[in-house]
Parts: sequence; C-alpha cells; structure tokens
Amino acid sequence: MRVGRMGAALVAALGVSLVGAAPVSAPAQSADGSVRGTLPGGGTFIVQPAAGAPVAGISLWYRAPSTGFGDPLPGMGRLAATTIAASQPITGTPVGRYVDQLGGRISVTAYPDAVAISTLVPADKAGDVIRALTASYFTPVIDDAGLTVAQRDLAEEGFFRQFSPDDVIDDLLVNALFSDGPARFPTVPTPQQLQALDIAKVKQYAARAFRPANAVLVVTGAVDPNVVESAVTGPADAAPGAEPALTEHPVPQPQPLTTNGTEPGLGLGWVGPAIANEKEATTFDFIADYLFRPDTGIVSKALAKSKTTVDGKFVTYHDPGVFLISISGGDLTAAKAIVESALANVKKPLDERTFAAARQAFVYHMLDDIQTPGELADNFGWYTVEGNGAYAPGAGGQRGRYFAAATELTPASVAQTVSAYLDRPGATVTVATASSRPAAAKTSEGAAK
Amino acid sequence: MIASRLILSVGLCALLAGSASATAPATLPVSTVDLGSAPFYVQNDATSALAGVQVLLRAGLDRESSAQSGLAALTAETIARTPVDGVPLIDAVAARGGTLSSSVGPQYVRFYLQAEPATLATLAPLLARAIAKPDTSLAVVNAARAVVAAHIADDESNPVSVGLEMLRQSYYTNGAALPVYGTTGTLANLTGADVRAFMAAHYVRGNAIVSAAGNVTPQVDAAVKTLASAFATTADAPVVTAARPFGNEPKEIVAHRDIGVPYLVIGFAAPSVSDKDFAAMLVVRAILGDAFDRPSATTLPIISRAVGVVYAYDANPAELAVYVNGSQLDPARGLTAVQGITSSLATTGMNADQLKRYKTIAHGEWQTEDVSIADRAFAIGNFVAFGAAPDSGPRIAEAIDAVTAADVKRVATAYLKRYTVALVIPRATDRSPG
Repeated sequence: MRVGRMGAALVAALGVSLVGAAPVSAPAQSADGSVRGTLPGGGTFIVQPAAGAPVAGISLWYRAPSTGFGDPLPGMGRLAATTIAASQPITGTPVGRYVDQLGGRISVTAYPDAVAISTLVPADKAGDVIRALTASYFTPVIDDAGLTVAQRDLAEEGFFRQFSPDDVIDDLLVNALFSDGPARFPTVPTPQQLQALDIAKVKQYAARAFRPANAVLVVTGAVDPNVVESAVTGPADAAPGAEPALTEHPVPQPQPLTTNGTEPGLGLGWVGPAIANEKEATTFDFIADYLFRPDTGIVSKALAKSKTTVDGKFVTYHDPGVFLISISGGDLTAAKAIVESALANVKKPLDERTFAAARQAFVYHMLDDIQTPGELADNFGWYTVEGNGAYAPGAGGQRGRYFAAATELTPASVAQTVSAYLDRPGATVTVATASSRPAAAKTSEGAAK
Repeated sequence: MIASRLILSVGLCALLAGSASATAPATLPVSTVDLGSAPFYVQNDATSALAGVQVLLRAGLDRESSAQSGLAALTAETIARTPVDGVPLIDAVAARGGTLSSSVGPQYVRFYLQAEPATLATLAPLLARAIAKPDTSLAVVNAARAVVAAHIADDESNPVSVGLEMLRQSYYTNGAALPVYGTTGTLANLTGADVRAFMAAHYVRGNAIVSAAGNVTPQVDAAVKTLASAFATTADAPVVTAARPFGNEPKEIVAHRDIGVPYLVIGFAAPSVSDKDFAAMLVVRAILGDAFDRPSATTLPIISRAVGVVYAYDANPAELAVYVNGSQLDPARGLTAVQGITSSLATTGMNADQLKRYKTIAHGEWQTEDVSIADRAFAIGNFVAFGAAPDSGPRIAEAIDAVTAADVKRVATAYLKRYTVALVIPRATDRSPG
C-alpha cells in the first residue's frame, strides 16, 4: 500500500510538471465581467470578479453520479470527494487541512448527479487554493488515512441527518419519483452502504469523476481573471471529454412511501420542468419562493405560530427538475390542508397586484441568495453541471436569462405551468415515529430507513 | 530515470513555491457622507445588485433597568410591527422586495434594511416614519411582545446562547448584563408607555451611527438622510458600561435546560476592536478554535466541533467565550485542556512556527468574517461605535500579520488568567464535574 501511494504521487508529480505550464485557452469575457474558457486539461472555468469583501469563492464542480458509474454504490460521490480532501497529496498537506490552515472554509456537497467542492478563502490566497484544489482532484491521491477520516465524517453526517426531517423526506420523495438512477438513493450513505465502499472502488470512481476534462472550476470575489492560470493541467493521460448530463426516468404513478423517523412528517413531491425549459423552471422557483420561503412565504407565514415546520423547494436538475415539500412536527393534518389550499390557489392566476409584489420579492430574494462570492460560485457551478450555465441567476446579472425569464412570468403563465405539472400524479411520503407508525403502504428500497 | 527525477524535482518546486499571486481588486474604501446631523459611513460597490443600510443606535441593554429587562428588544420589535398602510413595517418591507431586521446587544440596538438601491430608497422613509411615530398601541406592542417571547424560548433551547447569557450576566455591572429579550416576567409588564419613554430618551440622533455597503446610489444617500432625520435632536445622558473584576478563583455558574448534552462555556475579558491588543486576541481566538477538533476532511460544521470560540467585540468591554460541546468532548476535560493552553500561552508562549501558523489562520478568519453586505455594514458601524476608524478591516488584517510572540504572551497574561465558567446541563441530570 505504501508503495502504491508513492507510485501515485510520482505519476501525479510527473503529470503536473510535464504539462502544468500550459496556459488556459480562449478565455472570453462576458458583458457582466465574467470570464469563461477551457482549462488546459479540458474542463471549463468561470471567473466572476466582484468587489466587496477581500475573499474568493472557489468551487470545483463535477457532473458525476453519486452512486458511481456502474452498479449503485450509494454515497460514492460524497465519499470519494471527501476522501481526497483528507488524503495526503504530493504537495504534502491534504487540501482540506490546507484551506483550514489559511483560515478559510471548505465543504463537499453531493447531489444525485453532481459533486462539488466549495471553498471560501482570503482573496490573496486564491491562486494557491486553485492550485491545491486542482492538483488534489485532477490527479487524485487516495490513501487509507484519508478514507478513514472521510468515513468518520460521513458516518457523523449520516447520524445527524436522521434528525433532519426535511432531508429524510426529500430523500424519500425523489426515491419515489424515479424508477432508477442515483436519485433513488440518498447521497449520504447508511453505515452499511459506507462499509461497501472500499478504497479500490473509491480510486476507480475518483479517476473518472474528477478528471480535469470533467471539471467546472468557478472563481468569484476579489480576484483578477488571470488567477485561473494557477490551475494545474493534471495527468496527460486523463480521459478527455466531460460526462453527459444525467436524464432521470420518472415513474408514471409514484407509490406512497412510509418510513420511521425521529419526528412525524409528510412529504409531497412532483416531477417538474427540465433546466432547459427556462420559463417553466423559473416559474417553479417563483412558486417555491412565494409559498415557502422562510419568514415571507405564504405557507411559511401561515404556519409560523404553529409547531409545524414546512419546507418547499424546486430543484433545477438537468431533466427533470423536482418540486418537493416537506411538513414536519405539530398538527400535520392542519398543515397539509394549508399547503394543499395554497397549491390550489396558485393553479389559478394570482391577482395582478399580488403577483407583481410576489415577483418583485422573488427577484430580490434571488439577488440576495447570490450576493456573496461563495454563493455566486456555487450558483455558477450548479447551473453549469446541470447543463445550462447561461441560465444561472449570476450570469449576466439582472440582464441575464434567469431574470429575463422572471420578468416574462405572468399570473396566467404561472397558473398554467403549475397546473401542468402538479395535476400529474405526485409522490407522497409519511414519516412516523416508532409509536405512531400508521399501517401504511410500501417502504422505500433505496432511501434511508 | 535521472531525467524523471529532475523533472519531478522541478515540478515539486513549482508546486511548493505557490502560484502567481492574483491581482485582487483594491479594497473598497469607506467614505464619510455628511448628513448634516450625523456622519454616514459608506462602502460603495457600484457593481452590487443590492444595498444595505444599518443604523446602530446607542439604545441597547445597558439603557435598561432590571425591571425593564427586554425593553430594548420590545422597542425595536414594536417599530418593526408598526403598521405601514395597514401592514406591519417588516411585512411591508418584505412585500416590496426588501429585508428589515433588528438585533439588540449589550450597548447598541441594530436596524438593518436591505434591498435593490431604487427599492431601498423607498423603504428607508418607511422605517423613518415608524421610528418617528411608532404605533405603541396595545395591539402592536402585544404583537411585538409575542415575537420577543418566541426569541426567549428559542434561546433557552440553545445551550451556547444560554451559556453566553450567563457569562454576560456575570461580566457586566449594569443593564448590559440583562438577558437580551428579558424574561417572560419582565416582558409581560412592559407597556406602550415604556416603549415611548425608552425611545424618547435614547432614540436620538446623537446616539446613531449610520453605515451602508453595497450599491449605495445617490438615491440611497438621500433616503438615508431622511432616515437620520427621523431621530430626535434631543440629548441623551451618557451611560458607562463596565466589567466586574474577576476573582482569583474562577466563578462557576450552573443552569439546567431542556437540552441533549451538557455544554461548558468559559468567559474571559477581551480587548475591544480599537485596542492595540485586538489583533493579538484574534490570534488567540485562532489557537483556541483550532486546538481541539478531531481530524476531518473538510471544515467541521458547528455541531461537530468539540470547542468553539465567540469573540463578542460588539461591546466595550468585550468578551471572549470558549464553549465545549459535551457531545464531542467531556466538559471537565475540555476545561482542563483550555486551562492548559491559556496557561501555556501566558507562561511559555509560542515558538516561531506556531506563531506563523496561527497568524495565518487568524488573518484568514478575519478576512472571511464579514462577507455579506449586512456583515460589512455591521463591521463599519461597529468599528466606529467602539472608537476605531470606519475602514479598520484591512488595518486589523495587517495588525494580525505584525503580531509577535510577546504580544500573544502579553494578551494571554492580561486576559486569560481569570475567567468565569458557565455549565449548562440537561434537566434531571447530575451535575458534571467542572
């Protein structure tokens, strides 16, 4: 094993040193000041300079199934990215620790079809962090010590996740909505699933998922666009091209699911528009904001004084997106009635005044959600790996395609779009505590139990 | 083989030498706009889509008597609930595409308004109107009271909040020691007349520090002028907040709450933002925050951290609190370990490598501390409130870089030798050794 690590390190160093000086190619500056281009080893880069705090948000995004490339291995995407962050690369310091030692922050996030490594660091260290991140992920060194640390991190994350009703319900809803594919499994593995992910499988996954040509590097904040030249090329023999975007397969009639949890809850979910359908996807973002944004959403406010927590979101996946609602705690029956009434109301056109105010608030909320470099970097990364980077709310600012789509919404178009999707059969989930479990239907197969 | 080794060494040198440094845009300056009555501190960023305006008002906890505990928060919430066109101000702002928030500290109350610049220009006058003429009717005050009471309940279930309140109650000599939201008992007794009297005394122009960040257009400038004029021009009596001296032996306070695991919170005196030792204390914060965490791949979430550090520099005297998460580390062991570190810093000091490491962390933590528009507006106002220049952020970063081992030793000796311990333990649980 020790020899193996040395071998990998040598390959990594040689790969970097032989081709590391190649410049990034064909950068193009957009009207909004962002610069996009191709990394020397393939892959995409986006740099969006922004004034404000002396920080940089640096993210590496990958289109990669969370369950691996073959038979489903739940949790693989998150474990592989986390293991690399904890493993010792040729540069000597694991990249996770390196960022921490700069006083910055680093996190790994996994989705059914994507993995992201996000950092927030002092702007004057941006070049160093870009180099460290790309060196660590483009030529991944995965060692036993790193895997052990990552396994513990994920085990703890899984432990805490069971106490988050929203996460438990969302996992089950997408499980119910699709017939196959990674969305049927939570991205955080159960202890049993974690055991099945050995170092050989992690290495195999990482070599394919994190290859340079599959990367989207996003840099935002108080940086100069040429900072991206700090990215290393990666191994010369890495496979070219990016992974294709993932198309999921919805089931025609989702079956109701039930599970045990720490708090009683309900979930409602529907398949929504694909990211390519910009007007419809924006419609669902608008509806999620209007009904469910904490503090301001119609439903959130209606339930503010109750003991019920409600969360509603549209997730703009490649194809299709999903609209998920979770309700937990308190009087679930009463809360569900409020949610269903609110959904019925948005299937009819809102009056012009209400609609205009809701849209103005929606635009503000979107701008607020992408105001920091870290938020902006993840915004660009998400929309790019899902296949429509030009539609990212951060792209082009308020003159970009996202906000143009928001401007085009009308009360009638919103009602029509919502009806078109929510009148189809949706998924329902019931979470019972051990003492209150109803005699319900099928229990999920892949989702957390 | 030889060629390969040569290439390898060149590659390593290139890697280890670090990359070409980015040419970061120049730090945004903070300018001062004369509002005619009060200065307005602005960090303008014309590329930002949003703007945020903050009013920091010397009407915080230290203006309260014991019987008035909760009045500062109730007053702020009453303003937020004052109807505008029949809708509570906070909802009217949200409906127009903005955010209004408020918070109360030991000495200041903070109002923050954020929106797109053109919208903000229409929202600031609404806040001005509510400040100039708050609705202190029973209905509105009761609505505000309900919100404040909910905050009391929320804080009671958070062991860190409980511990910090316990320490603050032990630390300050006057109203600054009172609970932020009062108690259910004191809150129930407060009336609209109390709110009016509190505002008449303390919501005056001379107590206000106005700051803004983001895209602060001339429209926003004009709106802020309207906002500043909402405050009365009468004078307010000064109040001096002081800290109680620590005893030779640590004071220990115990509280029981409905929480899952015990938390231990250790409180130290700390230098304010304008103190020459502030930067050195930020290095100490980095040391204490880094010393206890288990190895992890990425930055640990708060719930997974064994020890956390809160530097409450939104007051003078300031306070540094170190909390031990009982789910990750036995509180008694945590206390012993913290004592070991603080004692070592005060006696042995740090070697050059340690100092360099923690200065780097402290520098980075400081740079990434105030990133959002709201946080940057807060930082500017907070600097001014406690005697520092409005643009102190970069200077403090430079001061961190200049901290010496002797500075850290001096700060550890001056501030870390005496402390108070707050132990928050689950109800119906035996008291842990502490």
